Amino acid sequence: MTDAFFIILSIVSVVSAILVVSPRNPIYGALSLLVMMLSLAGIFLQLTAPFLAVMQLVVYAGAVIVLFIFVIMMMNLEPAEMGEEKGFWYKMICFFLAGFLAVFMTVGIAKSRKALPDRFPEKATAEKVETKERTRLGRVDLVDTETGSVPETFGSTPRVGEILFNPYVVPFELVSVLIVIAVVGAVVLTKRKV
Amino acid sequence: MFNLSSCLILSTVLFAVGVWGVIARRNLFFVLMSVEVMLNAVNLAFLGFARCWGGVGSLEGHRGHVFVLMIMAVAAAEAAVGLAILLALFRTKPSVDADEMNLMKS
Repeated sequence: MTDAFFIILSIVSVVSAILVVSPRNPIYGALSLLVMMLSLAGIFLQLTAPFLAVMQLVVYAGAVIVLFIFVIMMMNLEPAEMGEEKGFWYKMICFFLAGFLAVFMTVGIAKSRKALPDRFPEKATAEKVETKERTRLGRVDLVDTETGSVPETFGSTPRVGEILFNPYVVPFELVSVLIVIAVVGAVVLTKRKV
Repeated sequence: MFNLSSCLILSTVLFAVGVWGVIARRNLFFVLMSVEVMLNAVNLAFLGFARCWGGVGSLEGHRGHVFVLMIMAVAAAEAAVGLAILLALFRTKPSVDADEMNLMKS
């Protein structure tokens, strides 16, 4: 069942990624990018990362793609302004370059398959495990210390929030400064000179 | 079938599609969107690894999630600034063709 979901979502994401980079009209590319991000959010959910799946929907699909669509529609490009595409042979060479990259990395992953675990570790549920552990926020969580299984609330919002605010608070604050810088920069760059 | 290797292979394929989009398209919108495809592929790889090594300790396992959050924030900032630059370029010369931005060419 999880395998079927993963195969369907991965096919959807690859097909929509190909549809991002190939069409003529950038709006179709933006809409395909939206589909790709939705399918990746589904895969994130399968990877026990519910907080990041929702963040992907809110930040990426909800803000970045909307920004792209706004800018594309605001610029209102004529076909003459969009420019010509490169020739067929140039695109073929690029296809072989990217294909070589994909094949090279896939062969590397396949060769190192013995070093990678062949199944994801399971989540500790109440039937299997009894040890509870108190997290920093004072919540109680099921943890299995013998086998390598992940805690029960892995990837949930309180857990990610704990690690974001305790060890990694400095990157968190720096990223908020970065976003302010980006907003100011975008406003300055697009101001009309009056 | 759904294991770390297949997640990494999917991430690789998406990344390669993004690379093709960056090097083979002239329209700057497609270049920016292909960069987003590549960043999403990398996010998937990070989360695959985080799921595998999440049992070591609860803090170490979530490092991948924090890094993915940082990548998402940086990608949003970069998309905003990139589109702003594109708009400013469009005002000087009404084209979004990367090959026509050759004012500095001798």
